Amino acid sequence: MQEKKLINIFTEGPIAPVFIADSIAKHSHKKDIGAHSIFLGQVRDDLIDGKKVAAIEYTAYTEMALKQMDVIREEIFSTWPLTCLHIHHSIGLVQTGEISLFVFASSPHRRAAIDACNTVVERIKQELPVWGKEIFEDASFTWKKNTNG
Amino acid sequence: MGARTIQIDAQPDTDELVRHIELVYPALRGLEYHVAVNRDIIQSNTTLTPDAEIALLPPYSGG
Repeated sequence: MQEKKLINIFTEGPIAPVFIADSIAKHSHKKDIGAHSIFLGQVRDDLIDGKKVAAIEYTAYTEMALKQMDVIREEIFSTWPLTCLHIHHSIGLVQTGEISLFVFASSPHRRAAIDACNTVVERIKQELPVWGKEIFEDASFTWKKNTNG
Repeated sequence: MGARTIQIDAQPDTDELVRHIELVYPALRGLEYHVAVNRDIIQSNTTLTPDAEIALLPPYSGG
């Protein structure tokens, strides 16, 4: 059996706001869509032990992350009647104020899009082998710790 | 610190592999990590084939 071609969710560097706008525009022809739910993760200048974060450098165990993202995707589509689901996650360096995560769910009615989008965000943070190295203004670093929000 | 790929002598199962790795890299002892075999997290001791791809994964912080 041929190995399934996995969707690549990773993009080098930050996600440009214009890309987000273009993604919305590209769905205009799908006339059955009534709702888009969008989550954007932006790198925050967190204060940790008196030091401010200047950027996050993301790394991933890519093959496993794509495999797990595919599992999540299948489960999301079997739970909610979505028209579309797109995920973009930055890899490499993202400065504070820049976007590092873009989750975009679309459906005929809003409940499915909203709930699916929220679930995808939580599952990405819990289940994908991705790591963020928080780089401080003085170039020292620490490893990011995810929270419940 | 970051990702590192190494080749080691075949180990029969993951318990043996972890024991071996922590001998060679004592800094790993006491650190929290999951073990993945061929890109799936394992919950208990798992038999290994010689070509298995094993990963030691610290707590995730993506998203």
